[in-house]
Amino acid sequence: MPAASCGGQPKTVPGVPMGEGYIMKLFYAWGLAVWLCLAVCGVAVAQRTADARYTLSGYIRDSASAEALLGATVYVQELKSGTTANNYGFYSLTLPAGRYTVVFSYIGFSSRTLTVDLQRNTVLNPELGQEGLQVQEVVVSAARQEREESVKSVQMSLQKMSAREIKAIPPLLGEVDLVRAVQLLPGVSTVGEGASGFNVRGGLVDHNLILLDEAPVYNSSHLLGIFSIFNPDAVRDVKLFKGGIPAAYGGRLASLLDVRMKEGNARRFTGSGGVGTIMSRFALEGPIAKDKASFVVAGRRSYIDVLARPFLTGGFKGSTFYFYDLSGKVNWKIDDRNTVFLSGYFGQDNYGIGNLFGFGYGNATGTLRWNHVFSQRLFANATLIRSNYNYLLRSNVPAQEFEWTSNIKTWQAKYDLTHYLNPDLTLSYGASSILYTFVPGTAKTFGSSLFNNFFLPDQRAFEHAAYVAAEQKIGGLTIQAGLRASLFDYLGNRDTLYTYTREPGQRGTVAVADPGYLDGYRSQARYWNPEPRLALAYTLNERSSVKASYMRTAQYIHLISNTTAVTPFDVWAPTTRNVKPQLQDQVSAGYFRNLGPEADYELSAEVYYKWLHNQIDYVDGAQLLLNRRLEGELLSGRGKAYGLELYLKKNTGRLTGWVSYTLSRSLRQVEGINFGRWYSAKFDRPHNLVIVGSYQLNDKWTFGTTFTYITGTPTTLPVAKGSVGGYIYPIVEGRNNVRIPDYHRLDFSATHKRPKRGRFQGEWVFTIYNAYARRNAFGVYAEPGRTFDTQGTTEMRRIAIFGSVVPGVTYNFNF
Amino acid sequence: MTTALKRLALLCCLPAWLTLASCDDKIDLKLNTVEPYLNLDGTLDDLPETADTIKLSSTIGYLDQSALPPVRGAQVVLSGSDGYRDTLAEVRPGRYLVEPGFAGRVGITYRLDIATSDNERYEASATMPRKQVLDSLTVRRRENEGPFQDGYYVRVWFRELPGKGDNLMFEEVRNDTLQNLPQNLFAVNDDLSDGQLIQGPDVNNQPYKLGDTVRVSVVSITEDARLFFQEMQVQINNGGLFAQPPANVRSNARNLNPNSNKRVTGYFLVRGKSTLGIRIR
Repeated sequence: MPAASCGGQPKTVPGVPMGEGYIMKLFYAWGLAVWLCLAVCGVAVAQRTADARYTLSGYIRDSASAEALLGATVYVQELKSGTTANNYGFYSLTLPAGRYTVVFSYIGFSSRTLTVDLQRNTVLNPELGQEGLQVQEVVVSAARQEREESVKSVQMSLQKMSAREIKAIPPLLGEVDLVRAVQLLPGVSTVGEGASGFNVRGGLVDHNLILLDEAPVYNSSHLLGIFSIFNPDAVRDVKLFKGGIPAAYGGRLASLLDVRMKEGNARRFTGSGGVGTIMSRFALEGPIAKDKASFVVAGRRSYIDVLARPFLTGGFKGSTFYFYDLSGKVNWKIDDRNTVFLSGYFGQDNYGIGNLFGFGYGNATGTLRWNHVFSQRLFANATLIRSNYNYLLRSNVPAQEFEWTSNIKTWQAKYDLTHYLNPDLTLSYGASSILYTFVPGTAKTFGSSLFNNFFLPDQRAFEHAAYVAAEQKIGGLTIQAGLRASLFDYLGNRDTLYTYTREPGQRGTVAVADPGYLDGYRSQARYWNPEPRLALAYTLNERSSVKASYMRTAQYIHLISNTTAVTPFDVWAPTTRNVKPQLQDQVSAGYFRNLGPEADYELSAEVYYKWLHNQIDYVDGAQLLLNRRLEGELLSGRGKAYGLELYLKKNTGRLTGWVSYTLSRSLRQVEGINFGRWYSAKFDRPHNLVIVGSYQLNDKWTFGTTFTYITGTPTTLPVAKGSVGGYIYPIVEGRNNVRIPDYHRLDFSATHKRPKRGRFQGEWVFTIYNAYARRNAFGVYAEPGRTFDTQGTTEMRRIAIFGSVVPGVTYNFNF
Repeated sequence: MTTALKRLALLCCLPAWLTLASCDDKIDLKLNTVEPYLNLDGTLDDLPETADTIKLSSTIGYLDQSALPPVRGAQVVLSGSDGYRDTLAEVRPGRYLVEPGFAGRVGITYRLDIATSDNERYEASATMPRKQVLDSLTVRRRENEGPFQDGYYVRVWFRELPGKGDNLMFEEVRNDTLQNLPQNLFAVNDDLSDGQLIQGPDVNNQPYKLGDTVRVSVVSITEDARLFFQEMQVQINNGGLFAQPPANVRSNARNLNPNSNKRVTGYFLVRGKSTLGIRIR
């Protein structure tokens, strides 16, 4: 495989302003050219007409709410071929003139078969009805086409989950959670119970690009990771790409978690909500103008603080701990060619012990999108995105008063075009630009504080990308080839420019500080990387296929964290002159098969191998917070990850669910660490078994269960103890040298549907989490005796987030 | 900040509190072990009345609960840049005594040369820093004051020596017991307090009661020693949900043969010490 040297080397010599201006101009000219080219191409292509071939296109929508059905399938029986709707429900098929039987289907919906006499370009906007919620005895072939998609599509390493599937998994404390559901998929793990985020195929938490309606989310957790920020009442569906990430997306190495919010019911007002053990939810959606414009708003708030208040005495009096979030979306179908969406999210966690100490963190995102249908065969999407993550830490301890804030802010503009040339060839291309502002930390002191005010200078950066991708079918073979080119431009400010020297594995010391005084932000380092993507699928027969893919991904921003789980206080840092972009090459191959007459079972087996370059690691005893010389604490190394993922899913009948088993390794090698030898990454967990089952007993009762088993995480623990002045301290050799005990857990849930009263439907959800009360270790740490009786003794202690059975009950309703 | 993060860790137990589940308990785990290091624990101060000892021992596995085995029969030579030289006598197993009445002098670099019976030779050296003198102690009673337990608190007063670069620790001897538990360890430099009048910060975490006796020392140490103690403070108070990976603390000792596989840990502390005593009345 190519070494890490491919692509980025700084193209400029800092402090040479002449070259600087020239390259900047060239660069912006390039940007402008790309955009212009795209626009011109788009129009030109739109005007071309095909001979004796006509286009069938339109939007596939839900008949109840007029919402678009993202990824719905279109199948032409005569041609035994078809397409899928894009992320906005738009589809386009260009076929020779003729009479066709076209089947439109979407998971959880009754499929619709329409006969089309295609003698001219035709717009067809079919609406699909939801399957009868009562009738589940024999689920008819409604979604068979959709299920067969996993075999037929060229896309591999993709896991889709609908809101309904997520809701069938026994939830913690009765609260359905999207990220917890994702953690049960093959190839996905976490570093511990309730840890923030998730790890995909041996990648870090920050290697996942998490998009909420296209807006990047920098911290997906509430309650430090126990829940995620996504309100299930507002989420439409979610896709996790573990490989074969489309060329339209980039900026992270390992995965893309694409979360789409509901559009809102454009026919009538509906609501849903729940009252649970620790939080309550409410969502409302409805038309603003029937069939034209709709909205959805959803909110949640936890209330442990309210319940616990009477029990808080002494130093805990006045403590706060709660989180809330608000999600909302408005969409307006201006006409058949134009749709505008505005969606937003705002959430905040606030915690504090007594009046002494507090902290809070939260995300805010906003997305404005404009879908434009240039022609039946050319679909365009323009997007403007804002995303912000911030945290705050406050101390009122006498003599230690401070308020410390940090944030990352982004603006992004994107333009994507999809060109449906013919049923066998689809072309997509586009460009994107992101402006980052990093505020790593500002500490203000007040009162009787002994500390001085302290701040770290802001950093800024541009990340640009342009891509083109084509999908071509040749008989049973489908080829998807794409190329993404990304360019990162680090804009340094004064006080951010140091050159370091270091011994391998040791803290870097500043060799040159402030090579030139910079008053504003100037380009200091520039990296570009070509990111080829290739996927092949060969259909063996109607029911089985083999697929292979290769992708290169580049990541220019990094979450700086050396604790077991990431914390809300970890900061994002840009690629600079000292920190190189992280790169990854991944190859994967897989076998996909459907079983049963209605594709009742989906079976897949995938293997992957990854080469990771410029991976960030940390010196021993690294100081990562409020450190002006942070880059001196960072090391660079390489990594490899490989694994096998087996997945069997049952889609039909009373009993549904899946079994997944992942066998994998994730290793790192950094000069000067662990004697230069390969060592386990902190989320290296070789065996990962998940069983998820849901059984519908009758119209009233549904039962669910989950079992997970996963190898314990590796961690660094002392190999000896030394003693000075009566203090016992640890001696460490090697990195991640011990595994903590394996993790396993069993959960149950029971859902009882209440009889419907008018439009109002209620249900009770009872859950038992960690049914056999295992104290799964989140982490293990070394602890010396802390009293005179125990002075000199040492022990290992285990932190368990849940040390016992966790019951929960929630009442959900919708109308 | 460390305390702040510890408090955070408490919060993470919240859902567990609700279900009366436990968050943190002792666990049996098999840890790796290595060839023992030589453990140096030596102190030299500027007072003739205190006996200075150099303790040599071997490190043991982290979960081994026995005492560190002494290293006997070593030849330990103390020398100073002023020409001082003394071969220390082993008065008890692994304990090597500096000659009685010895008092270190400011600005002199002292060096230990250790030759162990397995033919390894080690060296450690440090320079006596200038001495901070304690001015006075006072006592105050706190009642119903936020995070403080009710009782008596001893305050220290002195003027910090003008000129940056001083490093200090405090020692508290409560009713003849040196308070050297992990939570007592505290070392600081004068970056934020250079030349200032130190106006009575509390010495003790736990309150005193009437009749108790207290001896408080301000200990002048080198910058490297301050970093050693600060690193150790992080390591021995490093637990909970957001524990940092453990890391080695520095040492000012080294094996003179860099190719030897026998390693050394610990510290040779050269310090000035100023002590006052008080009885709570």
